[in-house]
Amino acid sequence: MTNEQRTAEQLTAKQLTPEQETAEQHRFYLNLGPQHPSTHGVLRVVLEMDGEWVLNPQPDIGFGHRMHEKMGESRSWSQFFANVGRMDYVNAMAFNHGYAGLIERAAGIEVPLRAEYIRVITAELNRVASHLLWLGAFILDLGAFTPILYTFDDRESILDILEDITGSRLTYSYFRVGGVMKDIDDTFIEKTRGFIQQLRSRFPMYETLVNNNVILHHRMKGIAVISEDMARQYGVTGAVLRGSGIAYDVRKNAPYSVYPEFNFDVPVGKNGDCMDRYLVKFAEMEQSLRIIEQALDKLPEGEFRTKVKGKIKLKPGMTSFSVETARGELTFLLIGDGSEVPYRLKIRVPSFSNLSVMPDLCSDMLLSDLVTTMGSFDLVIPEIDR
Amino acid sequence: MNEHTQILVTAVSGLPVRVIETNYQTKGFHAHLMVESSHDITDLVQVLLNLQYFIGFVSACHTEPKIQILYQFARYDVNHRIMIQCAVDENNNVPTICHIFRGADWHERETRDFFGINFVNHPNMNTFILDESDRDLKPLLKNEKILKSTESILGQGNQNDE
Repeated sequence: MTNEQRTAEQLTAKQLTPEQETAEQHRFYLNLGPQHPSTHGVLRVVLEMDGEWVLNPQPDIGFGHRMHEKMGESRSWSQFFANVGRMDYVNAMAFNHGYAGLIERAAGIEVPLRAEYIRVITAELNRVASHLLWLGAFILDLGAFTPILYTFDDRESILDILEDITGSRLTYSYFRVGGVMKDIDDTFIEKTRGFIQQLRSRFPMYETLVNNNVILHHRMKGIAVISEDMARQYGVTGAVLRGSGIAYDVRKNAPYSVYPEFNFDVPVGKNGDCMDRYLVKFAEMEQSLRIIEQALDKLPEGEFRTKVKGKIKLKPGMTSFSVETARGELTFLLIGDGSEVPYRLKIRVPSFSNLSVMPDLCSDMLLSDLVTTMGSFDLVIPEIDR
Repeated sequence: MNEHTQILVTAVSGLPVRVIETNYQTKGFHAHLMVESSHDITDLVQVLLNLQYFIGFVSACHTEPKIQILYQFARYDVNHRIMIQCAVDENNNVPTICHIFRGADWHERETRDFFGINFVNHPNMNTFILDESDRDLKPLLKNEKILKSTESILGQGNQNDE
């Protein structure tokens, strides 16, 4: 029997109705990415399509895989700092915080109070910068070009402020074990206060022009609803989780650094759809500004870095440290063996778990809604690939 | 003992699992669960789902004589984080947990890429992060010179030291 005969026989055996047959003809595979504006990096999504409808989206990751975990096994803490800032390049400060905190916990190093305050201020500034980038890029995905020009203008001010003290604009290696690289000065404080005012004056404009836009509501309301049960099974964290009404934020739930000393709220949504995720993330910017303001008011005098030995011996056994990045929970797991380089370093990144919901969440969805959903996840692909 | 660790100890009392309480301040997690046989992983994980834990990650660590598979779970509502440790069997097999925690799917595929561990009954054990040509690369396996024993790296004596 030839192949053609076999196929013909199979088709007859299926006994499709004329409608089903037409439906089968409309099935096709579509490649979203690896180079596509709405994937925000080198991510490929293989979509099984039926006309405009996505039947089964399967993300294909690893295009930017650099094996940071292997590099972590051959580098001491000071050598590895350059790596952590390059995973999530949009919120590098949180990764700095996670890795510094991990080594400090493993080696039992106390950090001066002033250093912790500086860490919180810079990490929150970086979080706002990350959220601003997301805000502009997300709205751009939905087809509105103007907002990104405004958010990038605001973000630029943060990058300038951080550049003055860290020396870099994106991939920061500013934290050190035992403190930070450089102290902040009055110019920094003045500029940061100025920025807080500037961004607060912008919020009403964003709210009227973007948040209250009826087209935006139609694109986001009721799209891609994540239930609590689904979130738990996939380990979803960050604003993606909080949009579903679960107030899980590492800064509140498992406080690290000096976060317990500040008053701030954890914004949550109700419905778990794209709209709620959007509103949660938008509201988080104001909360970060509140934290920065309080930290600047209470900023203690003292050392910005404690002296630590150049070689820190890491004891055998596991040490875990989690921080809240702009995208969710980041966990470093260190397994030491008594030498100064880790025996094993596991890096659990938030976007990896958040994206893993996609095949389940985005089946039987319009292609345009899938783009909306991916935008609401705030994905950073180098972080997923590591 | 921490009240949530206590709840956990009660819930897993019927399973061959040893729960060791750890110092959260120095370790970053509240309890360390040692599972004797990898066959009991699925039962344990089912208990964790019922207790409303969410999955942190699945990974592994290469030690002698067997690779240790590591799971991290935590809670959304309270601050409680646990680590599970279990040795793979002689054929590098571990039962999958992705029918219980669907998110384990990707983590297990990543662990297969890095360590060559086979997750039994996993629906898709193709390469994930690595390229298909690197299927047998197993980059995180250690060579014999630097390979250390499970006891010296993850032994019980290391859990409670200060």
